[in-house]
Amino acid sequence: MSFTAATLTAATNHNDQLALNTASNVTITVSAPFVLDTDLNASQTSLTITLPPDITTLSNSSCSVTNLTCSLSGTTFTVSAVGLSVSSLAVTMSNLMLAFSTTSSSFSVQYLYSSSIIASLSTGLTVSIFCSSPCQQCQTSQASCLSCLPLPNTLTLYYSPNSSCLSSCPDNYFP
Amino acid sequence: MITNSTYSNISVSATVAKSTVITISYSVTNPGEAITTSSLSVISYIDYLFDGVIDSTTSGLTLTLGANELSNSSFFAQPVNTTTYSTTSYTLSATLLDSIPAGGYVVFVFPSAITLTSPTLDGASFITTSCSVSTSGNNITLNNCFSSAMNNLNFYVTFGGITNPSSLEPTTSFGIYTYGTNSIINFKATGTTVIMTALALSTSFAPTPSSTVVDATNTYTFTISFFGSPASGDYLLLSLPVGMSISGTSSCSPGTGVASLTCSSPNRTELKVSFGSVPSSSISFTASNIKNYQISGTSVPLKLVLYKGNNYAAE
Repeated sequence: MSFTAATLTAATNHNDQLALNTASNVTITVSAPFVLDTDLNASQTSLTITLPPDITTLSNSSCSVTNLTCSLSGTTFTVSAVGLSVSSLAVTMSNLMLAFSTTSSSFSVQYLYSSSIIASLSTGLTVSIFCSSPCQQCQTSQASCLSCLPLPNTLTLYYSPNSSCLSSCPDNYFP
Repeated sequence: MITNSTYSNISVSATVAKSTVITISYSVTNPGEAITTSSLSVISYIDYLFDGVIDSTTSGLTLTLGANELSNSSFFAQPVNTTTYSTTSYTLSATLLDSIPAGGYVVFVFPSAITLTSPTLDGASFITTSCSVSTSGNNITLNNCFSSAMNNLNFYVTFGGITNPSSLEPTTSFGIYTYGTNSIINFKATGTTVIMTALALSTSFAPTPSSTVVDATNTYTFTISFFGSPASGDYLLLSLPVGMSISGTSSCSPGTGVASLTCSSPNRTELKVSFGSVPSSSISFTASNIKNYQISGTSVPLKLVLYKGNNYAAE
């Protein structure tokens, strides 16, 4: 007989404000629902995090986990030999790019033994942009832009006094 | 002084006093079968001018002869298939000590654990065309095989239609008895046993957890159809694979086909199910506190073995 996978507990964290169209870092903290039997071999365990389709990697994308080895292949990050117990394990993925949406679809996380799933989570694990469009980067508030999205999101880049990105130049201002 | 000796008469001439004990030793060939002879005759004569009988004894001096027992390494039984409950062929081979005379026959005794389902004579070390096979209880008798003396002492027969024992318990001994027209010639009744090496597969075994999620501790329903017929005192032993275990104490409840049963856990990966009543050939029961395998998508074997009350596995 065979069994179905359990559900992982995981949460995303992007304190550095995942900016639209800008390389950003995302940390996912993962906990498994139970500890594996000591009869099993810890070296055959692993944790994979697969990016949602609206988040892409860059050439310098990477991941890191304290005291463990993490690698990237395609859009999947893999933490090898994660162990028989996974509790609040923080996996930081660097230099990810979110496409032009304010909330991503869900990351997919799997806790594996060899190639078999122990527990997984593929819903609700999203990241959201702090800035509101057409801000590309913002500061102090979601609409206080530090930079603007490129065309075609804004026709022309103008900086108003309150740091809004505007599509046309208001009267009494010049580009 | 011996004055005359033939196969049947020995004459001794001497002058002896009354009550003298005379010992005569001579070699003879015993009868070929385990029989009691007719009486020897001893007659004393006076040899003086004429032969006159002094004393005679013509009855009561009999010899009772035993059959030749084959040695321990002279009789073997070998089934083709050594799976419990399997109906298969058995070859019984023996190195006989004596020929079987014309008109002789052979009796084979099978252990009580073996069932003579539909015995057939499938082969032999002699021509079998005239042979007849008859069974009585667990005995098979070969008659009418030997119209002339069977002198090949490297003897074997193969019987089909024999059903193996229902457990791995060593059988009691097979037996072989060769007969002349009157009585036993050779025999062996001890030391020839067989042991099954494989268990029959139960007709069906279906474990169903109340939850299939990995690592979940839950109640399982087991549905079993036995290959054979369990008896009172038999029990089941459920073995969980690595990654599954019994959490604490598992309690069992009868379902169908069995009125009462109890469970105990010899260790965290085994569950012993003892029947409180004779189960039917198909039963179901539940067992609580069984922790699921921890890895999904991988087929894991749950092993269930029916043991006889004497602790030998059956299926």
